[in-house]
Amino acid sequence: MASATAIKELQRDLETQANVLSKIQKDISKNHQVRKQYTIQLGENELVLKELDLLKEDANVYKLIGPVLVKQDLAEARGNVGKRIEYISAELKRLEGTLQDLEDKQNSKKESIFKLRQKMETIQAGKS
Amino acid sequence: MTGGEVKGTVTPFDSVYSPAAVREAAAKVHDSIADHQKDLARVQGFFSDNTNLINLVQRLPDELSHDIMVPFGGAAFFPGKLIHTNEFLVLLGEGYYADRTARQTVEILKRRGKSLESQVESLKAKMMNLEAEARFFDSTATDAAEGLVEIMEDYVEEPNKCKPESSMTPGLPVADLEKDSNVASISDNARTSTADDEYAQIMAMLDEREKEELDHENASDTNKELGEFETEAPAEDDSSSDEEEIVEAATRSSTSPHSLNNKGNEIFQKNKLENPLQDSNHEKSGKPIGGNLQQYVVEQSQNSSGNAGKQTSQTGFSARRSFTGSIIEHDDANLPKSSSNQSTTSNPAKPVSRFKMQKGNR
Repeated sequence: MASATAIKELQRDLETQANVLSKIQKDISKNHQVRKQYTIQLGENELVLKELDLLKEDANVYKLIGPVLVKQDLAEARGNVGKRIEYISAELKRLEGTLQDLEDKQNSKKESIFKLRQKMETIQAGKS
Repeated sequence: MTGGEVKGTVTPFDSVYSPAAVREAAAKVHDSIADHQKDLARVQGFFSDNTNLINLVQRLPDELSHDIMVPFGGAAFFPGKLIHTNEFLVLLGEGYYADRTARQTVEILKRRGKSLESQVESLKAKMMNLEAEARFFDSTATDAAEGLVEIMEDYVEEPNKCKPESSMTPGLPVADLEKDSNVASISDNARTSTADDEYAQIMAMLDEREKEELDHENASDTNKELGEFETEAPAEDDSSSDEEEIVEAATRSSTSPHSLNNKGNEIFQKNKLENPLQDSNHEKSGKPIGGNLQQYVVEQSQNSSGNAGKQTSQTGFSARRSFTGSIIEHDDANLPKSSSNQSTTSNPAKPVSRFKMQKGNR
């Protein structure tokens, strides 16, 4: 019957929509995690910059690159850390934008799923 | 609800806050509290490590060199010396190290300690919020499980009806609260809830008092009648009468006219309890006493029961009075006091004719 096929189609649609929704939700949670990570790194880098600023100009600064401690210039170290901070903040902002998009998509998907369900229910009610 | 028109909705807590969902939410909050506690423990561990390190760094420069056992490989040590005791390579973070003296190292460590402390504080604050949330959820869950019902009614002024409205009473069916009187709508849930609590208490106290009075003054028929007499509640807020006072007065078989006023109020108040929705403005202290009962009765029937809202104040302060059972003659001079305000009465549940107190009947 036409209504039976219609119901089957609707169910298929519902499944696909549900899959898409779960993917979006996974993306959102990943986004959260990455954002948390970045926030921690940002905090640490700010601390390092503060300490570097407190150092006298002739102090020795070393950077751990793999198993090697390499002597670094204080000014250079300050510059590097500053740039890293900027990079991390930019990444955070980008992630926030993505998060917003994902959330919007999630909401719209939820609504469409809801509507689909309602349609299914009315058809089934009509049939029975 | 029975009786007059019922306006309003009854919403069981279960529907508004389904117990299962509330319990789930409570469980989630508990979980997050546990997580935060773990974090808190971790950060506190860091803080204590930091303090130990500060102490060590402060002690090292005391000697030119220290004799130590140097770890060698995974499971071996060899004896050695710790030299350059004032020079430290301090990790600043993110793979950056700096050469510092002992004192400078200590300063760096202290700054780190401060940031750790602030982290601890914020974690603790978050945990307090979560705990408050958890408590709320738990209490809501238990309330919903008990079948707490929220009853909302519109406040409608009905001249000829008054009936105590139900309020939020856990477990009590609504009908229980409407036993005696006519229906009136209560506008204020909060007030009715307190009113009902007090109402229940007052009814219990009234029962006791009635028994006492019956024992004390069997001779006086009017005692019973007064007890049953439903009068408008004299709602004056004078707290002149205490229950003890009333009981004492009751035991005194004859009362002076002076005390009559109080008693009159009390009597009315007791009766008022049976009609919780009396208008608080009514003062009928002197009326029934002294034989103006008939007039009073007439007035009573004329009056329309008020709106339960005032009941709260009445029940509240009528709780302090009880029916003394002693009726004292009152001359008409006292009447004006009582009739000052408009009266609201509930249709007396007991027939007015039962009230036999008449002048000189005492």
